[in-house]
Amino acid sequence: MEKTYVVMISPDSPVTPSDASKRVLMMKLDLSVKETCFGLIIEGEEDLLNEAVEELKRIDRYGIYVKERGFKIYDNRICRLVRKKRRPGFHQFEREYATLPYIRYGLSAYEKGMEMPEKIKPRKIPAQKLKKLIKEMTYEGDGVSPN
Amino acid sequence: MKVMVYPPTSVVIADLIKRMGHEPLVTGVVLKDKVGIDLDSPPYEITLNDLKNSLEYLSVETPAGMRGRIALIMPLIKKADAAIIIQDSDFSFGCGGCDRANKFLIYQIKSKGIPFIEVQYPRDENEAVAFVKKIMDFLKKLGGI
Repeated sequence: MEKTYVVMISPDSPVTPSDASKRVLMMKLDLSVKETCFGLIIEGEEDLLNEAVEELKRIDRYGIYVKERGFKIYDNRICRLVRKKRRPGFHQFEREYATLPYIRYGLSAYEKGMEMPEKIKPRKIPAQKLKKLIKEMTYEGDGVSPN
Repeated sequence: MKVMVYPPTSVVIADLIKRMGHEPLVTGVVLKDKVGIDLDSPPYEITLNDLKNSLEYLSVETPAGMRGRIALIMPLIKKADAAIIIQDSDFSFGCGGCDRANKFLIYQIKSKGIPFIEVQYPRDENEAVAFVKKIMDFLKKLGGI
């Protein structure tokens, strides 16, 4: 069954959309490939698509993200060139594109078995101690800090 | 297992689900059927059948925008065996989204009785570790790899 995949490449990835498209084309699979600003759009049979995605993930395991897309590659109804404005769905890409470096860190930490470091909570200080500290740090005369 | 993603256009969650050997239910799955029809701008343009199908959940006087969105996403919720919801999906509200429709869809997911988790987009590395761990542990419990 023919499908269309959107491949999003993390901004901190060593792989560029141009590299990725060349890599897929060099596999000589029966796929249509379109290079975009955020990654690639690939179209073809599902098995071939999965093969291409596996190859891309072999280069950068935590930097390549894939999702199925409803529209075909050269559908004018969703093409920015024809619409002369942002296409529907781009805002979501833009929002998630900024999060991808964090997700890369999270994924690599998960595979290494790292736990989330506990947040250090500031200790509570009794009011008397706080007053004493303020008194020590300020002049009694004008209440302005010497620093 | 078929796992629903909310918001249904999320690339990150869809990829994490696929990495764990499950099938992500994203907008692309339902949009494929709409693209074939001769419409000027799917999914913004809805058909008469969409309005009819949405009557299963909503009353007649509900605005067409909400009915169209619900008719598009509800088939995904019907298919879903589990769900992952992103709470602070601010971009799905505004000129391109409908807050009422979003609330209704999240209510439908929660009241269906399927296992689900709620997460927030990470804002730093530490939150990302917790974000990925929560999702991966949830998907592992569902089965798969």
